[in-house]
Amino acid sequence: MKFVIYWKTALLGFRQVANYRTEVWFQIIQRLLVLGGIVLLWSVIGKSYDTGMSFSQLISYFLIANGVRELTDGQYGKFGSKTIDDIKSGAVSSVLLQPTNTVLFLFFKNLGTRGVSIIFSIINIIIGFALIPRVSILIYLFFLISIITATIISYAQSTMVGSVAFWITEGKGIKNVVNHVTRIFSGALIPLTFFPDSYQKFVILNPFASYGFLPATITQSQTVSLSILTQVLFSIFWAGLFLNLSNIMWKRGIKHYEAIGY
Amino acid sequence: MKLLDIKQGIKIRWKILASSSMFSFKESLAYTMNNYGNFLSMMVYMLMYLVFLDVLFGRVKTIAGYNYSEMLFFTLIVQINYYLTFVFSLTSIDQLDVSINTGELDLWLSKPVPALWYVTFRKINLGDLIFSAIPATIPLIVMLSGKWNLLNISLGGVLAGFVCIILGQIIIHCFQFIISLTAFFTGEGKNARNMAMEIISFGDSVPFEGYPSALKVVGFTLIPNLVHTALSVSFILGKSVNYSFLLYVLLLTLVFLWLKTKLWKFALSHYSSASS
Repeated sequence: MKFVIYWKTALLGFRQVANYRTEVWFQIIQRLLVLGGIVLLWSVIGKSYDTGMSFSQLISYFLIANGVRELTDGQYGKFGSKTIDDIKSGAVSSVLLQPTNTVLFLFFKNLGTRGVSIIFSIINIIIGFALIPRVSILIYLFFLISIITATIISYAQSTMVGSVAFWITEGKGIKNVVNHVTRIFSGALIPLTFFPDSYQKFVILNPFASYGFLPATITQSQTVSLSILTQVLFSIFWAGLFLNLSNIMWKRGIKHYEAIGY
Repeated sequence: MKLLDIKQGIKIRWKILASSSMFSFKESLAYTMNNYGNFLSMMVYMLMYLVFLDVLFGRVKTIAGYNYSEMLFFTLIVQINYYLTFVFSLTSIDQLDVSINTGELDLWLSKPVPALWYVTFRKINLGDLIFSAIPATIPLIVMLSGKWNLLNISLGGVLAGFVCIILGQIIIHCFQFIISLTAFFTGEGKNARNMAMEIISFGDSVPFEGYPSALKVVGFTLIPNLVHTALSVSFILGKSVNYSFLLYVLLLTLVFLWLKTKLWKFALSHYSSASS
């Protein structure tokens, strides 16, 4: 019964956004441009350097990495941004009074408004899969696990970023800082294997690698290697840690919350 | 009589420009936390981009014929252009959309002020320029400090590049403005604006010489995103020396200014107020 409420909230958000059809098209073109920019850069780099991947593999890597990053909201962290707005404006007060989990409710509310991005990202991922040789069921399973952990990490990251608004009203700067860091360390702009060998292993195991590098690398592999298994285990570890930290931060933050007129 | 009209026209435009800048500056002083937030964001963006370049050039020797020092300089011009757009154009265009949505635009249309001039320059973020943009560029300038002698810079190239930056900024402003006018017809313009911003910064990691010919044609005609950064850097670093191309850029600027005025009038004729 409770989940139906969250689901309906998401659907309502999607319907609201879908009403502005022209805007939906602009949004799709914008996403295509972001992806096009990365493909253009790497096609130029590919002319003077052997990336170790064929052109279709390279395109597939970036389609999947950016697709997953978009799907899980790791790209723009819109959930965090919206939470900051809701806390700043006091709109979160009405959600706090509801018999629902506040963070989950806000998450699903935001999820619906990202409907177009989600559909677009799924199309990217499907095209990315079509460009590489057929992979085994086990690879699909690991890919699915990486998507789940990436979603949890993104959800927790946005909750923590949003919670900052309980202490400082202008938290958008922090949100942008996190987005800039994740852009590089997710591997969505540059494969993490490009990092110097001396610290590449540590970079590959960073929590944001789950947004792009990990799922994209899984799909490029024909078998589940020890390296992939380690990365997936680390991803599960980060998801658990981030989720707990975000819960603590939200609970502490809410004690600081004051609102007038509700 | 006509000369007097022109004088008055210039006077009122100058007044709008000066008071918009002053008001925006005072506003930025009032919201200091915004300045810290913007500064932090710009600084981290800069640092992350430098990490990206460093990692990339750890494996790659050149990108489209540009070595590490040249790419650092390219990034400097990208950043300068971004800040110029952000300070002089973007916020005013953002506010136009809100004005159309809320009906606030009615107020400015009914006043004896040049409306197009006002909506173009209503917010000039000098505070962001001073408190965020300039300090955030320091790491890049520090990294470039020992490398100036490695760059092939000539006076002619710098002048041509400077002209390209100024004219390119006018062109991309007009382009963004024209796209944002869709808010008159759709009632909402956020994604249109985001798309326009994405178009003008498309391929801002790729030097002019790396673009395929088809994209070069598009980037110099319908979607003019190559003038302000790619072409200007190419001139400054002596990669392009065909200065006659500047005449074409000037013509393109005039065309976009004309289009901006015409389409503004067209959009106004379809404006239905939301305030009453």
